[in-house]
Amino acid sequence: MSNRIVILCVEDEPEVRDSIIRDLQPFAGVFRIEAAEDVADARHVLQECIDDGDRVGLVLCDHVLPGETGVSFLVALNHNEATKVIRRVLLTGQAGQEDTIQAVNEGGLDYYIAKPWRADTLRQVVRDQLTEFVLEEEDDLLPYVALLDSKRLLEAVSQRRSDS
Amino acid sequence: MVLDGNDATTMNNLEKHAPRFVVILCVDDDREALDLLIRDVDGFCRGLISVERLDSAEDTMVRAEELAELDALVPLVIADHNLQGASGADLLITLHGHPHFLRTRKVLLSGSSELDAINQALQVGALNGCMSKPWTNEYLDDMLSLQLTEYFIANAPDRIADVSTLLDITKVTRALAESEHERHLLDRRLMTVQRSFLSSIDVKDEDVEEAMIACIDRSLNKPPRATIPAGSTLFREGDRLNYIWILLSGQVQLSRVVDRKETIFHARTVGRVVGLLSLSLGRASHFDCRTQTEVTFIKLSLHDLDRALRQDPMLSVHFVTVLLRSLSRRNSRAVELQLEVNALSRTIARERDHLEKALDGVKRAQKLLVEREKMATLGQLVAGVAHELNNPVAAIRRCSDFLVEDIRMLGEGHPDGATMIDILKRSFEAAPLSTRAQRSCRKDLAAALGDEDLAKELVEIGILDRVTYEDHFHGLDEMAVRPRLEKLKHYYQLSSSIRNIRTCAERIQALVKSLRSYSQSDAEFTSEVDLHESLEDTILLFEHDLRGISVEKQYGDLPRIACNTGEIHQVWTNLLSNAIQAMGGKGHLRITTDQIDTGHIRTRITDNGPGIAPDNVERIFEINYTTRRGRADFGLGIGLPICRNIIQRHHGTLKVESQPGQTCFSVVLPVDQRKGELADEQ
Repeated sequence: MSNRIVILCVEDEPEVRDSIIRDLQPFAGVFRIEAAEDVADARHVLQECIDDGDRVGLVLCDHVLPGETGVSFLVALNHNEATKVIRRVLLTGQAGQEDTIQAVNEGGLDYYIAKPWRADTLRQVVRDQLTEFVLEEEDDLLPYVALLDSKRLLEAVSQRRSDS
Repeated sequence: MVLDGNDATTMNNLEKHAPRFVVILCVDDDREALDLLIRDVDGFCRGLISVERLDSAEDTMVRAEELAELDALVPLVIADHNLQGASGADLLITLHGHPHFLRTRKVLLSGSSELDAINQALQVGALNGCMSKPWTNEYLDDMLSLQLTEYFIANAPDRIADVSTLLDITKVTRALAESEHERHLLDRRLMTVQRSFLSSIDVKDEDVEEAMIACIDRSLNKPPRATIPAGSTLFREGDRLNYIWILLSGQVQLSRVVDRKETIFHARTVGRVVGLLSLSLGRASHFDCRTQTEVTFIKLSLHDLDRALRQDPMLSVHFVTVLLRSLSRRNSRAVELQLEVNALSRTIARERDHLEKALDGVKRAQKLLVEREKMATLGQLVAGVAHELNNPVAAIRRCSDFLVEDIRMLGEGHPDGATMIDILKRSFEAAPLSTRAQRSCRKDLAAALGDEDLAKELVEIGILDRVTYEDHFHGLDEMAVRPRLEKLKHYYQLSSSIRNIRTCAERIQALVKSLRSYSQSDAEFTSEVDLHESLEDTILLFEHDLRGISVEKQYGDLPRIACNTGEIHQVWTNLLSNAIQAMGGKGHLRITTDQIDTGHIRTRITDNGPGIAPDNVERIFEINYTTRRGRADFGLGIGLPICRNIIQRHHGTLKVESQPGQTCFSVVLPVDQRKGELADEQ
């Protein structure tokens, strides 16, 4: 199975990573969920996804990471045409105001979630962002109707039909 | 002194006809610069002298002709050097050639130094001053005062009274005294007098004064004497005087109110004649004049004085002698005052320096106190928070253990219990895999099983190889694999959640512990501690983090020392943790111990990380300073301040030396704590 949309979660602390991944389990049937412990690892995952014929639709990223920071990663994603379409969410408790401003201005940040997060908030944000992504990028929206924002997706489906 | 009028008012108006028009000319073709110049010059002149603006050389010459026609008094022309089509220097030279403007002071204004032009103008004597743009008000005022003073003294002494406030009064007074002196010397009517005047130089003050008073008595038929008590006022600052006072006995003082305080300028230096200077200049008095003792005097109007002087030429001699002597006394008094002022200024400057230094010291001390106070408050706060956190976190920690126990108990009666407990154990014992390793296992397993999705889910629940897979799924048909996997997944998630709760609780406990020890000061000391043992203990704890790092140990022969083992342990923990962080998990760590003298032992921990920027070296011992952005592993960036605190409590020192590629933390501890205490006191 290929051409899946990937949710990439970048978080260095294993316990926190486990929790995020588990909170995202409802998406696991349709989406591929990947984890990376730092930015270098995240880049590997990006490449692996491309190799597998999949593509990353959402990056959920901590800011304070060993090595390169999350915001710097988001900025890099935003400056690359191929990765610009990826929805970007910062999930952190430690980004200062300056970092956050940079993430918004240069990183094209789509959403900021402060730690500690609530599972329903996290899932709602992921759902909204993925809805945006599939509306922008996917021709066939039907596989996503059940999991994502079904109202918007169905509206779009009927709109597209009447257009064509 | 010439007094050829019959009335005092003639002093102010010696002109036979209407006063001549006085005007200063300012020439510049740059409108803005001219506006500025006019504003400043006008500001200086305060309406006492007209100021005219001219914007070209031609216009200036036309106006010059008109002014010559009007016989106007032109004390000063200021011309910019760069005029359109002409040079200011040439203009001034041309003006200089005009008889009416020969004596006019001429000042050249130049934006840049045009030495040739200035030289030329200087050589023909057409230039009295140069001024460069931009000028300061102070400079301009000094220049104007100087030029006007020179002009009026030389060319229009009769008009000095009109513009006296603009002039350098010291110079005017001196010049006036000189000119009076000269006039007397040259007066033919006083040829005989001149001889006696010159001969009076050797005469004592009292004799001249008596001679003068005798002359006055003779000429004016012994004018009446008046006697007034001490503390009376003869005149006040700002009064216009119509009389002079000739003192016969007693003492007066000349004073002024400076900064709301009466300052005596002259007492012994007043002399016998009071009021003449103001009177002769037609100006308001500079001083208050009060009697210090009972004073007897003759009060003369100018008219009386004039009459006496004409009747007896000898009076002039005595009078001028007395006046000159008193002027010279006042002058030396002025010099003295200036010297006193200078000395005082120096003293004040010195004291100000002292005060500034003292103030600096106080500020530093205050800053320190505030810092210390802040630290004390922070310490209490931290200790309080740590204490409050301790209970809930201990409960969480205990609960994670209870959960494990309960699951074990439940597992014993459960048909699937063995698997559950096996997964629980595996989850607890296995070190967490890196995301990279996970993906690699997934690939291998996918290859082995031929099912990528299954491999992914298996790896997620810790089943990493085919053998383990077979253990769990042996004999199951294809339809049964998925439900089984779901079950195992829940076992695994249960276990890993408990493990995560426990790990996180432990981390919070460690944090709380390091926070608490931060504010701890009455810790217990253990004697006979082997520092190497405590170092080894710490290194053991870091085994996991030291995997990518080569550790070199050079242990010297150390005596056992008394210390707080827990605290020292904490210091090693912090220093090692910092070194590992600095090297990014890869590098070379050297731990060296030696005894540097009979009383002290030293431990050095050296890493080959990137080093600390020189600007940051001292800051790393400050609270809340951390080069690791936001990491809170060992106390929110308070690790090193805590270490320094601990070492200071042990009467030792903690120092850092850093350069790119080598950072060395060096801890020196006294062998004997009591001696350390003594050394600290000294």
